Amino acid sequence: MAENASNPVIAAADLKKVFRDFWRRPKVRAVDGISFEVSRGEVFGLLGPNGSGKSTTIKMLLGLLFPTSGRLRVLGESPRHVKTRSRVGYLPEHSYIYPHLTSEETLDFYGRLFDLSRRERRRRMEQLLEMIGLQHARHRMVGEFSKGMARRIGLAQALINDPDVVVLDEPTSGLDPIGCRQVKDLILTLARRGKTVLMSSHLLADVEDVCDRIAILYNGKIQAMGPVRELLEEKGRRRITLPELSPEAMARVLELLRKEFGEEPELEHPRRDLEKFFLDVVEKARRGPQASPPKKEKLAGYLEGEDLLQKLAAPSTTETKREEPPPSAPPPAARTDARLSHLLQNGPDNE
Amino acid sequence: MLSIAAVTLRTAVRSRIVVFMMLLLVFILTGLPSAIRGDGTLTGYVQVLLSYTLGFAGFILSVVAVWTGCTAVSSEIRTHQMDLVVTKPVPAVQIWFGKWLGILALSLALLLFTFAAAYGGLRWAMIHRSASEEDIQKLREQVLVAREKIAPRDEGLEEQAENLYRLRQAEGAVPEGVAPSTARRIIADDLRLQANSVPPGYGRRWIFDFGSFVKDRPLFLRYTFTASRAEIEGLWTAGESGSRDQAVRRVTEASGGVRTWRIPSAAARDGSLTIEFGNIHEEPATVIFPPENPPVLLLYHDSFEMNFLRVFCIAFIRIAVLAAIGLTAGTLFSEPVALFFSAWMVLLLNIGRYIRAMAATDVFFPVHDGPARIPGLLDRLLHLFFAALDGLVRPLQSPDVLGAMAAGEWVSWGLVAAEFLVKVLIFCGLLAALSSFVLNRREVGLPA
Repeated sequence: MAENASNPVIAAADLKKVFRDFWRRPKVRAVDGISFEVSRGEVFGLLGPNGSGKSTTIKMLLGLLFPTSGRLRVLGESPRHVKTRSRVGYLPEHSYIYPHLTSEETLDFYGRLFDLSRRERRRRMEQLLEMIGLQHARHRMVGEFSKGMARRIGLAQALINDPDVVVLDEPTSGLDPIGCRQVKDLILTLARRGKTVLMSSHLLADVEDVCDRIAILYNGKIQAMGPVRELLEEKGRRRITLPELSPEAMARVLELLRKEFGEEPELEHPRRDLEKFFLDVVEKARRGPQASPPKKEKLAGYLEGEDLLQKLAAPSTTETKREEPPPSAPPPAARTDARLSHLLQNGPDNE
Repeated sequence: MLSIAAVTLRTAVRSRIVVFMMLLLVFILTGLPSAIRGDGTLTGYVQVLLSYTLGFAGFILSVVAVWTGCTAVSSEIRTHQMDLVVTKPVPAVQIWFGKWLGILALSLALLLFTFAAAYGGLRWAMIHRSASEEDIQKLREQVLVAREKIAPRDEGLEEQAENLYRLRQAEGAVPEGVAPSTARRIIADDLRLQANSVPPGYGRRWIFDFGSFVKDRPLFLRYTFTASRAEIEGLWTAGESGSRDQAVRRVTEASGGVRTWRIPSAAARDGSLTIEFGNIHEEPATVIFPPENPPVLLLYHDSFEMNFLRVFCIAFIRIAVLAAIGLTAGTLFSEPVALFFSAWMVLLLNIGRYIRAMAATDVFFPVHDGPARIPGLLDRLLHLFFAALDGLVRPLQSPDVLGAMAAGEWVSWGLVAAEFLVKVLIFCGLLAALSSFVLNRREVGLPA
C-alpha cells in the first residue's frame, strides 16, 4: 500500500502473535487478532494490564517481533523496511541506552544512525538537551543517570530524527510530575505538528490527558476502542459545575432539581486535579523571592516546526482535531453565572 | 557503520574480562621472556621471545577477539540495547561490519602494542644481554633474517609408487578388501622410507632448485635424522664435486634433534645446489632422514623487520577471523551458546593437524583376526566425517608463522595476500552475509 495522506499511518489487521517454545510448540498467544488504524496527527493509546499484549504490539510495529499472522503496515510499508525506520522514533519501556556514553555522545550516536550531517546532529542535540533539561548533564555518562534522566535522554533519542511516527512505550514511567507534564505537552505538540503518536501506558490519567483514541487490550484482544471522550462519557447523566452559592440560592436550585428529576441530586465540591495542584505549588515556589526566575523548558526548535516540520504543520491536514477555544468566548465563570440566572428565572423547561 | 564500530570499541574496553585479558597480556609480555629459560644463549632468548611470548600473547588476543565478538551482538540483544539500533535505518550488514570493525580496532591496538613490546624487548636484549661473537653471528644469520625455505627436488616417488601398485595389483599381491588408497599409501610410504634410508657405506643426494640468490649471505641446510646408534659419523658435501668451492663437512652428530650446516654461498650457483650425505660410520648403523621432514635449504630473502611486519599482518588476519566467528556465533545464538560454539570452533582450528591425520585414516577399528585393515561401515562413516571436518577447517588453517619467524624463515607477502583473500574477503564475507541474513530474520525483541 503506497503512502497517501488519506491512508492510515499505522494499519493493523487481524494481527496475531504466538510465542513458541524451543520445539516450536505454541506457548503464549500474546496478541490475538487485533485490528486498528491510526491516522496522521493522531495520538493513539494502548492500554491494558501487564501481559495484555501492549508491548508485543508495539514491538511488532517496530519490526522487533514478527506477526504470526495478520497484516501490519507503518507508513504504507512493512515495519521492517529500512525506509520506514528512518521515519519512526521509538522510546522503549526501559531506557536501553549504552551506559558508557555521555548524553551528547548518545544523541550523536543515534543521530549518526539516521545519517544526519554533523551540523544537523549538533543543532538537534543542543535543542533536545535544552528541551529535556539535561544541558547540565551533557558530559555525564548515561549509566550514572537517575531513572527519570535516563527516560529523558531516551525520549530525546526517539526524536533525534524528527520522526513522523513516534512510538512511546510507557513514556512517563519514572518521571516526576513536572517531567510527566512536559512529556504530555510534548506529545500534544507533536500531534499538533502532524506527527502520529502511538503510546502505551499504565497511567490512565496520562492516556486520558493526551490520547485522541485508545484501545484497551486484555488477553491479547481489543476489548474496547474509540475516542477517549466517547468511551468515558456516561450517557444519560450530566454534571453542572456552579460557583459557591448562598444557602437560599442553593436550596432553590436543589428544590428545582428534585422537582424535575424526582430524586436527590448528588452534591459535592469539585476537586482539583492533583497534577495541576502539584504543578501550581511548584510554580509558586519557583516564583518565591529567593527563587530564580522561572525557567520554562523549551521544545526543540526543529520539532516545533522551525524548518521541515513547518510543512507538516499545515492546518488543513494536521490541525483538525484540537481547536483552540475561540478568543471571543466569555470566561467560564461569567458563562456559568449567566446560565444560572437564566435557569432560575425561567426554569429548565424554557431552556 | 563507524559509529557502531566506535560504540563497540568503547563497550569492549569497558568489559571487565577484556580489561583482565589486557592486564594478562602486559604480564605475559613483561614476565614470560624472563620466566622461560631458553638454552642460555641470546639466540635462544630471542627465539623464545618471538615464538612463545608472541604465541601466548596471540592466544590472549584471540580470546579477547572471540569474547568481544560473541558478546557484541548477543549481549546487546539480551539487554535489548540492540532494539534501539535495529529500529534505526541501518541495514543488518552494516551493524555486523560496524561491530566487527570495532573489535578489529581494539585488536589492532592490542596487537600493535604486543608486537612493539616484543620488538622493543628484542632490541633491548641485543644491547644489554651478554653474548659471544658466535652467538651474535648466529642470531643475525639465522634468526634476525627472512630466509626462503627450499625443499629438495621431487624425485618422482609418487609416480614410482603408482607404478609399483599397479604391478603388485597385476601380480595379485594386493590383499583382497584393502582399499586402493590404503595400498597406494603403504607402497608410497615404503618407497619414501627406502629412499631416505642411508645404510653404512652408502650416500644420499638431494638437489635443491632455486633462482637467483643474495651471494654475500651464507646458505643453511637444516636437517634431522635418526639412527640405531647414539652418534653417527657422516660426511656432507655441497656443490659441484671436485670444485674448489665445494663445501665439505665431516661430522659426528647425535641422532635426533635439528641440525644446521652453514654453507658458504660460493658453493652454490644460481639455479641449484646438490648436497650429499655419506654414511661413513664404522659400525653398521643405518641413518634415516624422516620422509615427512626432509632436509631443507635456507636462503636469505629479506630483512627480519619486513618479516616481522608480515607476521604481524597474518596475526591480525587470524584475529579478524576469530572475531568474525565470535560475532557470527553471537548473531546466531544466545550469549552462552555463542561462547560455547566459538570455543569449539577455535579448538577445531587449533587441532587441524589431528583432523587432517584422522581424515587420512581409512581404518579406525582394524580387525586383527581377519584380513588386515579392511574398513567397515563405521570406519567409512568416521572417514567421511573427518574428511568433511577437514574440508571445513583446512582453508582456515595457517602455517606456524611465529615459529617460522623465530627460525628465521621467510613469510612471504604472497602468504599474507592469500590469507587475506581466503580468510578475510571470502570467509569473513560469507560470515557477514550469513549474519546479516540471520539478523534480518531474528526477532530481536523477544523477551529475555
